[in-house]
Amino acid sequence: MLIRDIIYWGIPSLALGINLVLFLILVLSKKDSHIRSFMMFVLSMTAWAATSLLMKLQLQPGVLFWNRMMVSSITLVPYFAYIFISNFTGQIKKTAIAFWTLVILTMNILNGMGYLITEAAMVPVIINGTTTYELQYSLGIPAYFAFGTIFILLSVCMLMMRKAIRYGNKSSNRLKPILTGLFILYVGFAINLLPAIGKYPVDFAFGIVTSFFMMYAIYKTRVIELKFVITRAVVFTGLLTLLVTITVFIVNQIMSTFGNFMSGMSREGQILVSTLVSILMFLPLFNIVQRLVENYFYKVENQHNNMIKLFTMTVSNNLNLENITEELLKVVHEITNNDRAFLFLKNDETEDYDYYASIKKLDKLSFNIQKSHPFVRWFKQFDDIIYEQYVDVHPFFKTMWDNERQELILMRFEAAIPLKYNGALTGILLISSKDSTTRLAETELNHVATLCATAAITISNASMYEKTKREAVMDGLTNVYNRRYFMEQIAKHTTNLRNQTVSLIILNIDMFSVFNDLYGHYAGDHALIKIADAIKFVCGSQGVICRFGEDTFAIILPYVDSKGAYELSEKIRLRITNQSMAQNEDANRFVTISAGICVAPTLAFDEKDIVAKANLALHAAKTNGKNQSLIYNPEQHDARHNGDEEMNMATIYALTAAIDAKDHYTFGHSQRVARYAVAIAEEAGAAKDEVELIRQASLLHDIGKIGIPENILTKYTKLTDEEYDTMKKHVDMSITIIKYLPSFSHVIPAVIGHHERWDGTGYPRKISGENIPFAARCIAIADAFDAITSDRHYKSYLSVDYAVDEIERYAGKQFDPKLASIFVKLVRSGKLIIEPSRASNYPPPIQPPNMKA
Amino acid sequence: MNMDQLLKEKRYDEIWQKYCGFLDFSIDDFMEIQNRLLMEQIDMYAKCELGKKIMGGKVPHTVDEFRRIVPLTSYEDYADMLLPKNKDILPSDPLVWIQTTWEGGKSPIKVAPYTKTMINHHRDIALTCFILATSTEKGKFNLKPNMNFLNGMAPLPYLTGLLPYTIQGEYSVNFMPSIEEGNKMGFGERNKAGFKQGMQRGIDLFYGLSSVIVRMSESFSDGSKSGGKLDLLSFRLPMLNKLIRAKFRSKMSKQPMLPKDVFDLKGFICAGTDSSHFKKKIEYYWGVKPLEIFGGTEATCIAAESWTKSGLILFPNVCFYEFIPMSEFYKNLENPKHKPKTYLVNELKADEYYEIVITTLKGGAFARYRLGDVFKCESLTREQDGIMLPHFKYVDRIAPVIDLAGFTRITEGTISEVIKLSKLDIHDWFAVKRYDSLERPYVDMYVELDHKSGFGMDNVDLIRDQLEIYFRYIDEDYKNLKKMLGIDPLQVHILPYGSIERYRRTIKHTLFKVNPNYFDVTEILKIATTNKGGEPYC
Repeated sequence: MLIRDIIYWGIPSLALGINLVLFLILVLSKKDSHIRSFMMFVLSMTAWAATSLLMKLQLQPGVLFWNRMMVSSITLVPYFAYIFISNFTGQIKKTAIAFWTLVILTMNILNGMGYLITEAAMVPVIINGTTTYELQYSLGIPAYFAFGTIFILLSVCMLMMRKAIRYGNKSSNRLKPILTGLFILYVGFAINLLPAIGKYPVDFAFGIVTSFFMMYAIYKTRVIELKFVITRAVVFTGLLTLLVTITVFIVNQIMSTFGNFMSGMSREGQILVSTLVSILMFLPLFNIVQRLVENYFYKVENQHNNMIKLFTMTVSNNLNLENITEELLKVVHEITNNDRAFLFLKNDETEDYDYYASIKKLDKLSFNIQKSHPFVRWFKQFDDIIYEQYVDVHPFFKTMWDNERQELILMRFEAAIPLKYNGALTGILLISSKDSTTRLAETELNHVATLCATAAITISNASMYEKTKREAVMDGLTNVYNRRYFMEQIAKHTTNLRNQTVSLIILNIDMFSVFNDLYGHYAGDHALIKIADAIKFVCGSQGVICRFGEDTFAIILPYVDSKGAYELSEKIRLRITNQSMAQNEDANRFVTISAGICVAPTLAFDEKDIVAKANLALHAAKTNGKNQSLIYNPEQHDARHNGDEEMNMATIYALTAAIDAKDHYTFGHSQRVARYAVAIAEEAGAAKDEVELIRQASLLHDIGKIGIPENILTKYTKLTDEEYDTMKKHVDMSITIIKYLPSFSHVIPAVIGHHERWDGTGYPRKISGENIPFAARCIAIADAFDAITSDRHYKSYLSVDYAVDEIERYAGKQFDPKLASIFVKLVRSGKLIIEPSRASNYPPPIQPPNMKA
Repeated sequence: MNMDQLLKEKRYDEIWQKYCGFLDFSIDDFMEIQNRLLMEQIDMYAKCELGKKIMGGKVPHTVDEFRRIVPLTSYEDYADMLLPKNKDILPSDPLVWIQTTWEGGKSPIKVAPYTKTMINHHRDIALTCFILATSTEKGKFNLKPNMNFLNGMAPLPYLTGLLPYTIQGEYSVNFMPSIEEGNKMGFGERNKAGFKQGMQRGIDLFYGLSSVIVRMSESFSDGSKSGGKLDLLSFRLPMLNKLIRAKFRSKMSKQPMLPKDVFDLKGFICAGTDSSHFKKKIEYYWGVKPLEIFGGTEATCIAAESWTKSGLILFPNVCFYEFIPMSEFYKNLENPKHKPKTYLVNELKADEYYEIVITTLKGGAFARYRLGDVFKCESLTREQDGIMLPHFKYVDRIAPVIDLAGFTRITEGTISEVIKLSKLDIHDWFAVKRYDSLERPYVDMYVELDHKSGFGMDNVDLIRDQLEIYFRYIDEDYKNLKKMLGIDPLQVHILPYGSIERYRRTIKHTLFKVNPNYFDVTEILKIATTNKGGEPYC
């Protein structure tokens, strides 16, 4: 076979094959206006190649006819290129299109009438003794105009492209292949006009290249997804077409080579030989093609399947969440060849989906996916992947907030894939697009979805394991570490960091038992949670926070010195003091904390030592008036621990004396109330401890009167409403004073309740019945009795009988009926001897200027 | 991909899902959108000065808390902050300020800020309306790019003027007249020019005020009878063909030529207070069922009918909706201190009348705002259409306001001012909105003349003329009622002196001066009859 023959036959055949395959791909793809106009361009190229071949085969109705058809096809190529470019660049000008349509139509009419090609024939030529055929034709004058028009049209196309690139209608990167393709086509036509080269089908070769450039441009602009389009069937069909063409061509050549040998055979014999040769040629080639196609397609799919299998095996026995997610993201990267995937896992507390990890460690997202986010709602209802376009199109996503939409835009969101196990959504994988043009193929995303479904099971198991593990070391109420974990950690830190600083803060809630007595354990728990939250808020990610005891927290601070620990402790203390920790304002004033700080290795040498010394500092803070932080000081704290209580008792007597001195009329009132209340309590069968508490509480019950202005305290006439309100404040003031007597904080409920009434109309808390502490009920009777039987600024004393009758009368209203009855019996039976309390027994009070003695 | 491209590629399912997919919602889906977007709005609102003022510095954390904490509001509550158009006090930066007249308000206009997202929603809603207007079956519609669109609505800064700008770049239509030309014309002139162009090029879509459309349609038919002159050379061939055929048929049948004989309309969108009274006429004249929509400056477009054109359906993502039942409305009217109870969309009852309350979403300015419009909840679902959302009928403005064909709103303040200016010795009065035999609205005004006035019971025309002078003087739009719509907006009746007061003494409730209830009117007229021996009023 001559090379000339190969060029003559091979290039148009190849052009035809390639254009047919291209056309087939386009037919099977999802069509839009771009694809449709490109299809017409490819069709014109195909027609050009087909008519050329038919002409060379000299088929009926003859060479001249096929030559004219070929010329028509040639005129259509630039025309459809023009339509495609108008469409593709958005430069649709109806008038211009109409003009060129008219021009091309005229050219074709002229061609049909024989004005372009007047004659054409295949003339036998003998080269090196072999006869071959060469096309000879003669052109009419209009043909020169026609070719000129083709060049003008191609130039117009190229100018349009340049304009589109310059004015940024489409990204220039995406348009350059089209421009290049057009240029090649232009050159192809131009070269064809040179007689030496023009006899070869150079224009076909250039046409093939142009088609590929245009196809590439379409692919890059995502108008067509090649991965969707080039299915096994399409590629197989394409290659088969090519194979058949090649086989026919080769068999034809073989037959002509052995023409002499065959000429002696009958027609049936010739057909038989041709068929056998075709089968022998075709079958092995068919096998090779089939294997190649299968290999190519299954290779990718098999690779993905193997990755998923390997992932399943790797993570199936793994309970480490970090390892599993790392492995998952690695495989996602391998499948998609995209390194922008972000994993969000469910936070069991908030039920939101928090950012957990991404393929690139530093490529973090700063948002979380709220439980009410439409993505979460979608995945709860469906298992389908959410694609970018859904967010705009599907009404389901109308609930999306503007900032959520903005976050997706900023991350270049492409798809969201659920991690679901047993219907529960454990996580969400968000995938960003690599750039503004590239999108993942559906098959890739489906593989990732399969991977996520597998991962969901292991992540769910690992989360459960982590949760259980965490629960074992967490305090269920406050959600900080428990004492067990504290002991482990303090040992670890004081051992491992022997030469490094570690600080320990022990925080204790001041008078927490009193708080619980007054407001109940539910309120106490609430306060504990709020305090723990405040500590967590201030510490952030710093240190290890533990619940050390019922009302005590500990913070281990590695690498923090005493100054740093003190500052942190003060921040926590101030936050707790200044922010509402209890459910109501009344209870809130109780919630303060004291803190003791110790630092190792400077002040302590092991874990026991650091804890003991932090506790000593805490104790010092408590006895020093509470609501403060103290750093352990070996010189002061060890010595101060003794003798505190004696000092407190002395303080109480001093304070009692102070109030007695302030109001002469109530001199000795506290001692008498203490005696009467103790008598009631003993008669009611109270335990020794309680009796002692009542005695102390009675002594301190009016201590707040120190803070009441003297003119109110010693007023001779009836108090005004305003003055009475001020007077009532002595209860609050008593509490404020007692808070500074650490050993006597237990008497607060009794003191605070001694003006409460059995029927709930007392003050300050208006509690009733047995909600009033027992001690307070005893003091209330004793207090009222002594007030009646004593002289006051505004009244003289009344008789004991009268006072007892009054107590009896108000039993069940103001007083506990049972205790009132006990008291009445005690007095009437003479068991309780009443001390006379007369103003005349004491120094006369200072009289106001307008009153006479 | 914009609407033009989607239409070119015939992706009709995608278009329907994007714009009309909400019609497949259940009431729970609807409420989910309402509640979630309200929380977004609260989040923005609580941070801005306006929000702090309206919500009293509190930050609601739930929808219920929001409804508990935030009082019902009216424009008075916003006027001081919005009228200076200060963007710094708003929850989100406005892209445009929309304006309307404020009848009876302390300023002649009201303004409302529109954020970028609100405008995007408005664009989507406009396209939804186009789709539904051209649709007669679920999922099927007849919309194409570059349709001829006759926009018979007011230009910017009114809400209706936003439409051409919002759809720019999304959906191409040929506005008749073009936006630039239209902006230079007055309302009537623009309608005429648009209609003239429509005659020449054909009309595919028509959006207008129902009352105006009816008037235009009547003029068209009347014109065809009188044989008005037409510049036939300016017509496009298909239109000329249709016109000649229609004229011929009209001559042969001796019936007037109707717009439907000439125009092959794809969709009709109508709005305005009395739309429900005009819709049948529009269908008669134009051969297509018009799609009624409802909107307002403060709220944007909030409701449209479905493809069946049988009741308004609320858009779920534009505003948060609450409804005051009429019993609560009247309690509040009698005693302004009474806080009317509101109901959410999923708490409504069929056949009940409600005043609508809106909270604008996506950074809008209004919270629990009383629009002053009354809706009837016609049905909670329309299962035959597969729509599981409530369908509403727009009834009217709230009782103390008489809205005439969407052109003007007459309040007690307006009438009192007219009476004062007219210097007629009118002792007592009340006014009621009524419809004439052609379903056109007008005001029926009942007056009692002072003994000292020189007028007698037979001076009705004189009194009406005198009052009309001042109505026209203080209300620009009142003039147009007669001029553009051919409506006689005022009828006057004289009642015997003291009739109203006599009735007032017998009742415990307040007798409203504008639109008193039906029973009150009947009783007063009975008293008037007794007073005047069988001739109650003129």
